[in-house]
Amino acid sequence: MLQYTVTVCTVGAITAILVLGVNVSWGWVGQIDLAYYAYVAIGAYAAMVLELPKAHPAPTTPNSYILGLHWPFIPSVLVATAIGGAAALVVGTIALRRLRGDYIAIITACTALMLTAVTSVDNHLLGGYIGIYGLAEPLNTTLHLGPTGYSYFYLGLCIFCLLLAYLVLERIYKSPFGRSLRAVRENDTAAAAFGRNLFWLRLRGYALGGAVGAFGGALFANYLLAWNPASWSLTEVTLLIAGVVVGGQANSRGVIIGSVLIESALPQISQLFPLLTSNSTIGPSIASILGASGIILMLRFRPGGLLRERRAIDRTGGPASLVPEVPAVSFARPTTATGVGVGTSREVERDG
Amino acid sequence: MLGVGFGLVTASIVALSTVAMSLQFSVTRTINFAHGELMTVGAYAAFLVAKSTSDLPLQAVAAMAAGAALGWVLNVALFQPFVQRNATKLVIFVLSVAASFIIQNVLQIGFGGSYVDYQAGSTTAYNVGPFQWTAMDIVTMAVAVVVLVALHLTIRRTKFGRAQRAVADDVLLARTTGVGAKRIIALTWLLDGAIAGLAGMLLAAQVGSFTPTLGFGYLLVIFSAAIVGGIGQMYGAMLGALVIGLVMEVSAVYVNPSYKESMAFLILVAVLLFRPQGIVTALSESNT
Amino acid sequence: MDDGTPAPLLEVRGLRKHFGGVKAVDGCDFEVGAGEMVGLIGPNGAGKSTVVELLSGLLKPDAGTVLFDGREIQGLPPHRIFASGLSRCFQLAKPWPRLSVLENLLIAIPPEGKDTIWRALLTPPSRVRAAERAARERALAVAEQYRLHPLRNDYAYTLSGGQRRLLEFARIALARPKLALLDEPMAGVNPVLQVEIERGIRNLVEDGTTVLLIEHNLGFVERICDRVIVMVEGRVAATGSLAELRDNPIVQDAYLGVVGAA
Repeated sequence: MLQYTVTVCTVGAITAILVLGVNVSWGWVGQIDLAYYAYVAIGAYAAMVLELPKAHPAPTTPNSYILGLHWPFIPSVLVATAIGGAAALVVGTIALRRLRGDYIAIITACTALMLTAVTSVDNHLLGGYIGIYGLAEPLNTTLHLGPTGYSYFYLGLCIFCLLLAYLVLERIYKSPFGRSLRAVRENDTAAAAFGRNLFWLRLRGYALGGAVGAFGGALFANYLLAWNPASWSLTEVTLLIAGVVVGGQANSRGVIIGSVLIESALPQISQLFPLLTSNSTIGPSIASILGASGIILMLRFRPGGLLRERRAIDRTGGPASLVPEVPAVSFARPTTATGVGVGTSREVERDG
Repeated sequence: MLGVGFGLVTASIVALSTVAMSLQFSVTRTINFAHGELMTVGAYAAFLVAKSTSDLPLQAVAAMAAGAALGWVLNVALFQPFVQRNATKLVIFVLSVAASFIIQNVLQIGFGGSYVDYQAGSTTAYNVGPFQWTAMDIVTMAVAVVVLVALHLTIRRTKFGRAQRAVADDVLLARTTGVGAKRIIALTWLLDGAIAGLAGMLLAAQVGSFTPTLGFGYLLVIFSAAIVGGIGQMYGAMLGALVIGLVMEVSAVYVNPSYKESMAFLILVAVLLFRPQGIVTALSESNT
Repeated sequence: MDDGTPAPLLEVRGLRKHFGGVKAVDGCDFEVGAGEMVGLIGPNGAGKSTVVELLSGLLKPDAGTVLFDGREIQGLPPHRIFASGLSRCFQLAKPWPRLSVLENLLIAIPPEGKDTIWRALLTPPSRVRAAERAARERALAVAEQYRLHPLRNDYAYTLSGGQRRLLEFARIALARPKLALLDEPMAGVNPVLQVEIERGIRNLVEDGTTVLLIEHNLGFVERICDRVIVMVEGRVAATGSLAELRDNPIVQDAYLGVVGAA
């Protein structure tokens, strides 16, 4: 049971990192990015081919992979992250040329499907359908931990990485750069009229999301010790998007809560139908249907998500002449309107 | 030449589906990620009817009815309530992605995830000029031509077509000038679903066996054709479908056929890099 | 401008923009000198708003040159035109709705240097805080000036039409452009707020911003503008003070007595 909890928490931490990346392109920039899982896969594959030794295809197992540099864990993860960011930069350059949301959705979807097709079909690029496997537990050659101890260690590592990703992204979110991204999302014409280069901002935001995805993917591959085209599909991306929608667009804490809720709640819900789960193919289908229905219901009844996006708040009293009327006017206004979530009653803050 | 022959058949199917999507997009301005599922339900409807009768027209009617019904449901139950609340494009798009997943998984539960066989029409081969086609290939192309011509006449010559173009130009304006925009949009979804369902049946007949991801797997091709032609452009969509269909099948002769769909995407990238407005100049530069 | 004064801040020559068969702007020439407060008037459909779109880069002209502050800016993208010191407010106010009023104001302050991820990550926290504090002080001071201070923590979508208009001015004041293009700032604003907006425009001018104002309310134009440019059918029909132009037959013809009524 304890081991099960450790597994759930490790996968949960990695999922949280992944959803933070989705949140950059979907939440901050408002882009319909469907290639996200491709960057996760790129990070996973990149980390593996950097860490693994050279492939030795045997006659019985003809599949092989490129590189095989036998690098240590940490530089591999960092380089994999950079590769994911670079890949997003390339895709973004094509997809964002026409500054229309529709195009981005279609081109990213096509990119993702094409990369899946190529990696699955080509047996000598990244192992084809079988994928890559046989990675040694990272860092354990120096740590020499037993299976239980190692699982605790890797959980700790994932939580540390999650914290790191969270802090880095929060810092960027609060910076002028993050604010510019949200201005582009809210009204791009006005953002351009106030000196924002729409293409560059969108591209940078897109690449940042891709890099975070690749980072999470590298950690995931190092946890699973194997990766293949079936490890990651549009279904998983839908669940991540569901996490963003349920948790609250652009709110880092909200999306983490949302994704953890969805990833941990869905398997439990499908187990409530013992009759259905006896059929192994139906369980995942029920989970997907519930996840997708959850997105629709959430969009309908709570469009802002569980936690509202945080806005900059000024808590200084302001000029002396105005002090008496400030609290009454600024905090008591009801914030119900179409298109924006009502959020929780919790006051959101972001003080400088 | 074998490649070109196959290409024309593929192009016919792609053209039907792409034109349906373009028509729907130009009128509703909604990118429907569940478009592939319209094709899939069409294919399954034809598959079910084929169990009791080998009558092709009856199967086609079933495919069109299933597609139209799904299109209508998507509009009424899913998109309209949100459009009326002024939902953003992002929200509408997420809805269609969610719908696509729900439909695929419902089909998965109903029919299972494994391939079902669907044989339609005769497989007798005929030599027509340099091409070699089966009877079903010829039927497919003929159906595509008839449907596209009928659609052209509907849009250019009928009151419904004029109203549809009015809505496509400006929903608000159409509403104020008395065109029943809501009714036109509903009818457009019906039409979109019917044509896509028919395309799904023809596609299933071509590939011989399929799964609940039939249409979804074809979405890339449809999107590519739509963008190559200039999105929202009906005639561009036909041209885009022709280009994509030919390139896919001709390339399959020379490179690994598994890359067929990826070829469609390469064309798409090339067009976006060198002629981003599509082959046929886009209707309008509406900003997001 | 022919009396030996330095070159004008804005010089528009032969500007042209056709939409299909509609000649929205058809060979437009005019100048605006530094520090001037110029009105751009004309009947509906004269192409005034199109001129604003062309100058601010949202539309690309078919022909013509726009010399701003000694550089040709025609056809440049909007962000480069903003960077060269020309900003505009929208006829239909465009706030960033799901950001707070304070954030709306902070975004209007041109970023110092490049606005990038690396900068966001690598600048030492003390400097980040100092820069943010300085920006907030400026933003709040301007908010006070435009009566937006009590609303500073509200989402921009909760503002009324008039308040949105004030936010537009506050953003322009924070951007500190050399030239501000104001597209019908009085349209659809109640009389109380009209007073505020007139004050806002005077504030801008006092801060050293040159203003090109598009407006239908001629009484207001007469009160506030040094000079007016009259556009008719995509061209400049006349320039001068409004008093002089009242007797001009072209202007009278174009306005069909509107001038006399004002």
